[in-house]
Formats: sequence, structure tokens, C-alpha cells
Amino acid sequence: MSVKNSISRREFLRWAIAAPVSAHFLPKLALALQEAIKEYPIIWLQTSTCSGCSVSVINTIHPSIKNVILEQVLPGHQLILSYHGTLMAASGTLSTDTARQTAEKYHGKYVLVVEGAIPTKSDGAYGSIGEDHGRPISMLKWIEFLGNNAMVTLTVGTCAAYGGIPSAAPNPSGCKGVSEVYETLNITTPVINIPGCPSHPDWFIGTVSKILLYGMPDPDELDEYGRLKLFFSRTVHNRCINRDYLDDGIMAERFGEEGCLLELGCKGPFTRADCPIRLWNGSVNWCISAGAPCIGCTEKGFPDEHSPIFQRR
Amino acid sequence: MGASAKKISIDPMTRIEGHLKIEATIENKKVIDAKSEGTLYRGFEQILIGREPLDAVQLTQRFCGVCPTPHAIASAQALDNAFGITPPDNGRIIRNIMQGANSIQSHILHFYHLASLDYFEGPEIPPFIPRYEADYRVPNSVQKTLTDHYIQAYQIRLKAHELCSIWSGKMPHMASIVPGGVTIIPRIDNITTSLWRLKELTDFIDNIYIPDVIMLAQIYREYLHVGSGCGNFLAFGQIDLDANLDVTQRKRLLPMGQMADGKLLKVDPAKIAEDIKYSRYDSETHLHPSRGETHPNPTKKRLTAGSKRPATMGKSMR
Repeated sequence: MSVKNSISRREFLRWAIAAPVSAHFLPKLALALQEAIKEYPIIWLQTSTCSGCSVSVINTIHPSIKNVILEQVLPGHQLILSYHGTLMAASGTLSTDTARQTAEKYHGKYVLVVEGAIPTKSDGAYGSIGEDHGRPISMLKWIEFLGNNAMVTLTVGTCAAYGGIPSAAPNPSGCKGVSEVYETLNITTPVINIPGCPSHPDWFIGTVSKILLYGMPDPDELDEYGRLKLFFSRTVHNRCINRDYLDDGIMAERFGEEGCLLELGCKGPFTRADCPIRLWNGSVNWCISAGAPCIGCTEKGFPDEHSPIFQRR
Repeated sequence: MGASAKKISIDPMTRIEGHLKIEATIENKKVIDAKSEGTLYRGFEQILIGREPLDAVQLTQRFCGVCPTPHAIASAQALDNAFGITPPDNGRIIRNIMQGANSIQSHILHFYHLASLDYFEGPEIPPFIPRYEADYRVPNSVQKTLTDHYIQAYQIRLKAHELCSIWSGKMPHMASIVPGGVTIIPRIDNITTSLWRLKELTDFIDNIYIPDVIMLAQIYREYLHVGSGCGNFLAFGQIDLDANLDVTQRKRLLPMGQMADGKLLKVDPAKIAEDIKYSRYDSETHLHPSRGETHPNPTKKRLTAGSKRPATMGKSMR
């Protein structure tokens, strides 16, 4: 079977000029012609995940997902999404070969995004992607190979950052976050955590843009959990819209009642994230405005340390 | 299986939610046998054991980032049922709005971003390449239109997420659903902004999405008759129109039902079973979900296939 493989920027320009170009390629073409665009290959590996972080990141508004995939994530900087299990056209070995070839060709120069925890029990037997001579390649093996050669690893979501939901007790598949796995495997590639269940599109795009424009963050720009303080330094509680209720001693005791949600288990005091000012889904809402307590989904202890979810800690 | 038969393996099967492998046997350009295997085990059943029941809604919906709503609603209904309560009308209707909104999101995502690249080629940049040079029949003019619609679908599906989020707090993964109903109180601003988003979505569905589906169905006409699987279907239905204490007796906009051997039947929940005959578990097969066991054994020699599968009256169902 013949395969349409890769295309260089020069080839792309030739194609774009020759082919009937639809309107949304024109700005890309104009920018490409300036020949100032820097390209960054991305390998987006989904491990023990629900794909919710991918689904969340494609909700990005400025830049739009069209900007991110077809144009530039920020003017002059283009991400080349070489491998993404949910979005890429290729399947089977054609897809996994692309991941492998990108890692080899751009050794030390590609961005590895990990979405999902890493199953480590029984030598990684609980999760595999693709096969080698008929034998499954564990997600653990992929992490070892792709992690070692990456310029930087971005964990998107709490599962990839700290283990998250699949690592909840009794952690049936021995799931771990990427940093913990790297430590065991002596991988020294820098890791930046972008947690959340799911992660917010702005947190992901913001972290990527920061690296592309200013390089790797200084150690003092990250907190003790490997997150950018920019997004994760202040607690949900301290910027909560219900603070006036707490100050006035008005506490909700049942769902739907007016008041601070602490007695209903709100984890806002233990959760660092900028949800109260950033809001979700085009800023239409966030958990607490919907009358629901914060469940602490950006934290290392999620979900076990926050369980029972609806009881005051 | 004849001498010319050839086995192929597609692993990973991309553009789905989850991790899947397909093994197919092909003879004279025809698939004569196919097996599927889920290649990730997380163990939600095990994680739920011993936990506070109220936590279940938040945990189980995280099974899937594309369709958390039905998982959350099913979990809340199971708890409603266990506690012997029914949600008030506001709770029932707001759950319905969230489910409806996410169904729209999920359908648009499925058709354009997961399925459509099997039918048209898209532009010559990743993630559209590499690709197999396969059976793409759409003419050039339509190719351009579909690429535009693929991009437009990205922008419009997030409006469906917004429509859900207005009621759920955020999406994916909804904060507001709890046993007994929802935590949010309807207000006129929420209702107004929802109606406008719904109108925008309806315009896209009527004028772009449905015409695209019909156009591709006409171009790939014979695809309507291939890949029907086992032909047995089981649906619990959704969008409750009343609050009957027995969820299986509720009137639903999309009703509950099952199709077996071409016949439409009523679902008998007592006859539903977990089929793990071909899966990597050490438990007994065809147990009722209420007595279901989950003892994974990833190294077990597999007979044919993957994860737990639903069955009823001894038949495998989809």
C-alpha cells in the first residue's frame, strides 16, 4: 500500500500555490512566505487517559484550534502535530512509525506531551500502543523511548502529572505520573506539569507559548509540584466568589442553597488554580458558580486525598 | 479460510476515544473475520469499591472525556435508585439539557474529527498526513468544502460544550450533577444564553452537518451495508420525560430497547450480563452487573478479544 508520508515546508508552499486553496489557508500562506516561522514538532502520547484533556485543549478560543493546528500557536511559531492518537489520520504502524521517526529525526528538539498516567504494574502489561513483531509495546516503553529524547515533557492533566484517577486506590494497574516514572528510569528531560481534570486550554497554550517565546521557565517560576506559578499559585478559596458568604457566616448545608460550600466538602482552600478568575468553556461558568464544590482536581492528591469528595476536610 | 487469506493487525486504531487494536483476516479483498481488543485497563470497578457512594458520580464520568455526561447521569440515577429518590423537574430537565448538549458535541466530534478523515484527505500537513493512499472518492471541489467544514466543526462543537457548561460548571467532566438532581438553579440569563447557543448549533446541524452526512452516504453508498457487526443492539435510552421511581419504566425521548436477530424487543434488566468470555479476566463470564466481578489478568492467553462486553439473553450486544 502506498503511503503519503511527510511534506516539507517548501513542498507545502508549492502545493498551496498549485492547489485550489481554501480561504483559511491564506493567512497561513502569507505568514509562511515571510519565512520566519519556527516549527516545533509535537508528539502527543495518550496513555492511561479518558482523552478529556485533548477534548478540553481543542476548546481553545484565542488562539483557535484552527490557529493551533493549521496556522501558528502564536505568530511566528508553529506546532507540527506529528503524533496524536485521537486526531491523526494515520492508524496502526503508519502512526507509530511517525512517532518513532519524529523522535529520531528531531532528537532532543521535539516537545513530548503526555496525556494520562503510566501503568507500571507487571512491567506495563496493563496498557500498550502498537506492536513490535506481534508483541505489544507497553506505554511504559514508549515513555522511556520518547521521554529520553525529548527537549521537554509537558504533562497535560492530573493523570500524567501525578497519577490522577487511574492511580486511585487500589491503583489496579500501578499507574504513576510522568515525573515519578522518569525518576525510576533515570530520565533527566525537564517536565512541566499542567494538571487539572481536565487541564484548561489556556493553561496548556499558555505554558507552550511561554516556552516558545522565552525558553524553559526558571526553577522559581515553578511550584513544588512542577506547575507554573503563573496559573497555580493562589488557592481557589482565596479568590472565590463565595468569600462574602463565608465572611458573613452564611454556609450552604444542602446543594442548591445560598452560601459558602465548605460544609459540602469544597476543596477550594487546598487547591491551587486560577479557575475563579479564568472560568471555563469560553468563561461561561466554573464549578462553584454552578453550585458545586471544588473537588481539587489540579492537586497531586486527587482524588484520594480529597475523598470523601462531599465531606468537609 | 482459504490459502490466499491474509491477516493484518491495526494497532493502535486511532481517531477513537481509548486504546484499541483490530485484527482482521482478508481474503479476495474482503474482510472475512475480525477481532477487536481494548489495550488499556484502568479498573474503575475496583477503584469504586469501599468508597463513599456520593463520590461515584465524579469518578465514573472520568471514564471518558468525550462522553462524561451519560456516565455521570447513569451513576447519579443508580444512586437515586439506591436511595429511593427521584429528582425534581428542574433537576431532571437540567440533566436532560446537559446530556442533549453533550450528545451534539459528541456527534459533531465523531463525524468530523474522528470519522470523516476516512472519507476525504484533508490538507497536506500533520495531523492529516501521513495517511494511507486509500479509497478516497470525493471530487476536488468537495474536498475543499469538507476541509472547511472540518475546521468549522471544531469551532462550533465548543459551543455545545459551552451549552453544557452553562449548566454543569465545566466540560469535560461536570461538577453540578449529584444524586437527587443538580446543584445549579436555573436563571433567566442562563436560559437565554443557552437558547442562542442551541440556535447556532441547530443552524450548523441543519445546513452543514446533515447535508455532509447525506453527501458522503451517497458517494460511499455500499458502506451502508458493510460493518454492521453482530447486528444486536442494546440501548438504555436517554432524556427522561417523567420521574418514575423505577428508571427502567421511565418514558424517554430516546426510548430504551434492544434489537436481536432483527427484532425489536423490550429490555429486561435482569437478563443483562457482562460477557468476558474472550477477555483477559479471571472472573466467571455472563454475570449480572450487580454481581459482576473484576479480576484482570493481562497476561492471560486471550481467545479473541478485549474488554467487558454487554450481553443479554446469552447474546453479545453492542
